[in-house]
Amino acid sequence: MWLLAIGLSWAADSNPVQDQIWRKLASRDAFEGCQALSALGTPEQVRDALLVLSAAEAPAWVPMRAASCVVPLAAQDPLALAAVRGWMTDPAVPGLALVVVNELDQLPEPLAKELAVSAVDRMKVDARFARRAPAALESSVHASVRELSAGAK
Amino acid sequence: MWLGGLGLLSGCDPEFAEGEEDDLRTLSAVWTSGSDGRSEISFDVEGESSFLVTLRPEAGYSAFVETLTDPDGNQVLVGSDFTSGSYEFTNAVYADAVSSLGWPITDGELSEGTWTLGVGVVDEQLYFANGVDFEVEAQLKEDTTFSEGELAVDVVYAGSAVGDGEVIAAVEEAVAYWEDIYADIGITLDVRYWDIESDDPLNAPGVGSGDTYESIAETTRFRAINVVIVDSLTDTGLFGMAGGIPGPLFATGQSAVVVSASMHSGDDLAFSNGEIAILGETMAHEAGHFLGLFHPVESTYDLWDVLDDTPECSSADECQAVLENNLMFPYPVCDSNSCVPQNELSDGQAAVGNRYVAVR
Repeated sequence: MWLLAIGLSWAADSNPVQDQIWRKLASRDAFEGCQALSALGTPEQVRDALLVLSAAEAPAWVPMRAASCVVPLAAQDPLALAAVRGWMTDPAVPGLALVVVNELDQLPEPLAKELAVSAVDRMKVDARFARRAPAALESSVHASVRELSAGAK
Repeated sequence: MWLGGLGLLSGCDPEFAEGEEDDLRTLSAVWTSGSDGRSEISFDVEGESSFLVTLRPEAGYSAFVETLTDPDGNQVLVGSDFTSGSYEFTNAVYADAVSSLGWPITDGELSEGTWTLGVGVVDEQLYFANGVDFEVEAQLKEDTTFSEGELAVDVVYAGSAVGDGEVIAAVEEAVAYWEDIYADIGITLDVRYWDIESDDPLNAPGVGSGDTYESIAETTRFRAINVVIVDSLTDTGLFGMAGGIPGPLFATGQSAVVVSASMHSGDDLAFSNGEIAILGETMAHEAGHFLGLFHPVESTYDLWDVLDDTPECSSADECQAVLENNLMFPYPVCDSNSCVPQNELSDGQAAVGNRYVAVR
C-alpha cells in the first residue's frame, strides 16, 4: 500500500533528488552504478527515490535499474526488504523479480536463499520469469542457491 | 603494393597487404611499436572519399591515435586537443584494445596522397610500450555523396534470445522504426537476421565476451554493422552498448552493438508499443555511436560533440528543451508513463553517419 502511494505520487510532484536519480537511471549507455547515486542525497532520500522509481513506467529500464539498486539495501533496510519480497510474489512484476535473482550474490546467504525459494516457486507459475531465472540461480556464489536451482530441475 | 614508408621511429615498417572486399579497398599489416612506444603509419588515398583505420595491439596492450597528418603535411587531428578538452570527436584518441578512426568525420575532402597516422601503444598501466605488435586494418570507400546511402545491418539473436518469439516480434517491429529514423538522413537499411549459439549472458563489447563478438563478425557480412540481441547482459544494468565510436568493421571483439531485450521489456517482461519504439531508438542510437556519432551533450552538461548544428547547452532543463527529440540525446525524456520520440538527427549528424565506410 505504501509503495502504491509513493508510486502514484511520482507523477504528481517529483523532487530534485528523484529527478537526478531518474536521469542517472535513464541513461541510454553506460550506467555508472548504484554507488554513483549515493552522492545525490541522504541514504533515506536515495532509497525512497529508488522505491518510487522502481514503479516508473518509462523508459522500461528505469524500474529495472532502480530495483537493482534496492536489492543490496535489503539486508539492512526493512523498507527495501519489504519491497524486494513483494516483487518476488507480485505477478505484475516478473522483471523486478528477475532483477532480484540477478542480484542475489550481493545479499547474505540466508536472505539470498529465502528469495531463491520464492524464485523457484514463481518459476512454476510464471513462464516469462521461468525462462530467464534459472541461469542466474545456477551461477550464484551461494551454494544453497545453486542447490535450490538444481533441485528445481 | 607498398604503401608505407614514413616510419621514422620504428625503423623498418611492414608492407601493407592490399585487397578488395565488398567494394572497399582494404589494407592489412602487422606493425611493431617503436622505441618510445610510438609508430607512424602511412598509406595512400587513391581517390576514395573516406577511410576507417582500426588498430589492435596484442593482448594486454592498448593503442590510440595521437595525430593524423594529411598529404600536405597538415596535422588535421591532434588527439590531445580532445582528451583534455570539452568536445568529443572520436574515441580513437583514447587508448583501447581496439581503436578505430574514421576520416573525414565532419567536413572536408579526403585528398589524394599519403596520409600518416601517429599511433601510441601503451601497457595496462598506460606506460608507452615498445616492441609491441599491433594489427593495422584499413578500409577505404568511394562514395559520390555523403547525403544518402545503404547500410547493411546484421541483427544477430544470441544465447537465449534465439527462438524467443516475443523478442523476435518486438525486434522486427523495432527495426522497422529504426529504418524510418535512418531514412530521414538518407540511409536505407539492408537488414538480415541471424541466430548464433553463444554463452548466456554476454558481456558488452569492449568489456568482455570478445571471442564471441569476433566470431559473430567473422560469420556475418563484412561490410555490415552487427546488432547482437541478447536476453540480458552480464552487467545487468546495461541494456545497449556500441563497440566503439566509431566501431571497427573488421572482425574484433568490439565489432558489434549489443542490445538487451529484457531491459527493454521492463518490469512485466512484456513489450508494450512504447517499449518497442524505445527499443528501435536504442538500436538506432547505438548504431549511431558505431557510425561515429557522440551524444550532442553528455549528461554532465560540460562535454559536447563537435558539430555546429547541435546546440551547446549546459543544464538538464536547457538541454531537454532543445535536444529532447534528438536520437543521440543521452537519455529518453519521459513523464510518468511515456517518453517523447527521439528520432531526429541534425544535418551534421547525418553527414557523420553517411561518411562511415560501411555506408555504401
